Amino acid sequence: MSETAVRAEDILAEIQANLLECKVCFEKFSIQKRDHTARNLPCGHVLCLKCICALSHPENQRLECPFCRKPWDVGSTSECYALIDLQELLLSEACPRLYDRVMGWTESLGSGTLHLRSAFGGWGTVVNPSGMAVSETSGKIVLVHDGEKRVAVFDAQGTHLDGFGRYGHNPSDLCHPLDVALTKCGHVVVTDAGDQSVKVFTSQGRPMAAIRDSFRLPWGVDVDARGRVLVTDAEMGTLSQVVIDFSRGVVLVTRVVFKELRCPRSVASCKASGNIAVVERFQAGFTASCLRIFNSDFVPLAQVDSFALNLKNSLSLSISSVVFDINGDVIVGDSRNGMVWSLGKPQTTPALTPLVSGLLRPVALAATTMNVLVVLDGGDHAVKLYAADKDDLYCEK
Amino acid sequence: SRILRIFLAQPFNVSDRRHIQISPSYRAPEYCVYSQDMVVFRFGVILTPESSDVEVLVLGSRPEMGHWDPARAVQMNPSRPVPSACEPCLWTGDVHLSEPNTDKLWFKFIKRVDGNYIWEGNGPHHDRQCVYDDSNMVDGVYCHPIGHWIEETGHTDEMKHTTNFYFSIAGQQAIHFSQVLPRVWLGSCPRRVEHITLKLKQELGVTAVMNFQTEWDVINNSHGCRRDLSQPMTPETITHLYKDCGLSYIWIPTPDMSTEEESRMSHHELWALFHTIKLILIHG
Repeated sequence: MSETAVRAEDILAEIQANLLECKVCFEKFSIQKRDHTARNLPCGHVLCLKCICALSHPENQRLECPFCRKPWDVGSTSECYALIDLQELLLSEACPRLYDRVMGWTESLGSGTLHLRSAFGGWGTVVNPSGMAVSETSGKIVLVHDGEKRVAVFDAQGTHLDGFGRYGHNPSDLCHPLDVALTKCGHVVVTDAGDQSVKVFTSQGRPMAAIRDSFRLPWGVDVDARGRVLVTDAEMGTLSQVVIDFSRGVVLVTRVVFKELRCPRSVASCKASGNIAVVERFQAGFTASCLRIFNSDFVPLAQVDSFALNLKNSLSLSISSVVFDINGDVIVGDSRNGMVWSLGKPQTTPALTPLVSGLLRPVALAATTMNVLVVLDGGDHAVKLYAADKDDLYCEK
Repeated sequence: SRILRIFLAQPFNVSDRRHIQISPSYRAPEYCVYSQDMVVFRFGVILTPESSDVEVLVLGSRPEMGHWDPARAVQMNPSRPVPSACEPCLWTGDVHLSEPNTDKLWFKFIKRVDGNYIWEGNGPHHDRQCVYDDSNMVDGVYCHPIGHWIEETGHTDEMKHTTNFYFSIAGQQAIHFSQVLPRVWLGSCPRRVEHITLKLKQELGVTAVMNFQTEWDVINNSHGCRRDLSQPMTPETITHLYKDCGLSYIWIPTPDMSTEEESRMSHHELWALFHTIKLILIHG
């Protein structure tokens, strides 16, 4: 299934531009005007009659084809019936008139709000979820919540597939998970704030490794393009990088890469550019937030605080989660307004584009390889999938 | 725990419930000629659906409300896109009624499950009446007070549904809450230490808590909030836990179904309550 559906209007525009105009004088071929009719040269190239007369020698009535330089007699040209017929067809009533139909705002691609394609979950199936990750390879959606099995795995259609991790303090348990990330091979990395640890499980839920004694309030977790784990600690104000040998289940390195962050929470890594985004929430006023963006070497690139956004846009945002889309644009969840916004490229002035509205409390975001935005709404315990093209609603993937 | 009735003003979300299809509840607005003499009547019902595919409609005596023909009933919209079979949900529906619209009208809520209609109650004696009351006009819309679904027995079984919902929360050892105002959350009691130390304090950013549980409630439902499980559970356990976390805490034990006189607070508690609200406002 093609991701970018080519529309009829695009094809018609192409035909008009490339086939139905003379490539020498760039005037449209005309059925009515005699000297602008399309004429064939024996070599196959097409010109309008006016150009043929202009290019031919006044005395011997011969001309060189401007495209292939083959010499021909003017008399050996003929009407190009194929193009004449095509033009007649396009001008007929049966064909949709180009430029007469104005694109509706909600139809135009690449701007405005995304459409809700499907939603699943609800209280009972999902209980106070706090983090989510989507598998690049299988499209499975993994979330962590306060249910009996703290890690829940769903397929993209919302069917509950698997669950593991009961409440407790054993290696296979999860006390109070806050966020989850997936590696390329399907390993599950969970921050357990109740246990002050970061735990690694196989895709089946078997405990593989745990990092204790390094964290006080491990909150956000993500895996970068090179398989390294990024963890924020909201109490210590740090961003750490953990290198794990997933094949052996051994933690190789745990190091702090950035300090003195103010209550850092959600963290996201851009697969394309290697950039990293961290959401900070200030203790003084819990709705005040700040977004920090670093490059892959943890050099600060940009900082977007709610005060600056308020000044420029007269809007108060409460950034609760962050993700990068396939183009590397920064996408944030806003729990104050129940919306998801795109802030654009990291190093440009943030331009607020609303993508989704009508949410209660977006706690986690993910972007799939099919360019679907997945939103985890903590307010109604549901996973909601949004896409730009409404046509995709009726296609089975 | 105290059962409080609050009109939860939720945004009207008209969106998908089923995957890959538009929800059957979604109905494109019909275009009709509006005149100044038409008034929008809004009806609401709370019920726990059998599944997330259940459609809810309102059917009544007026022609605009279907004239008792289920095929012409007015579709209602759930207040959230994924109604759960474990949690009561609010459905609302708007109808344009032309003049005269102050006469008494009768109506029922109906459900459609797999193409079958299920009517409220078991006969016309369970019909609902809408008697015009000017105080129900809100911003130009007549908002008929929200009701609970009437079961076949003729009762709303509100107690049974509330109890089922309560047991589903207790069974999961979970905490359930909703934001009712920008700075006010309303919910069930915490059942684990982490509900207070992490969920309330860190994730939601709560700075003050008002607890209406009786002593019996605290001991029997919140015993999981002990850091040391070898110690017996007392109301002080909760008080100390909130204090450790730096959250303001007010305990107003209120037995269920207590009358206004019985739940009257002492002057001291009232002062502490207002003081707390100030704290909530400042820290918000």
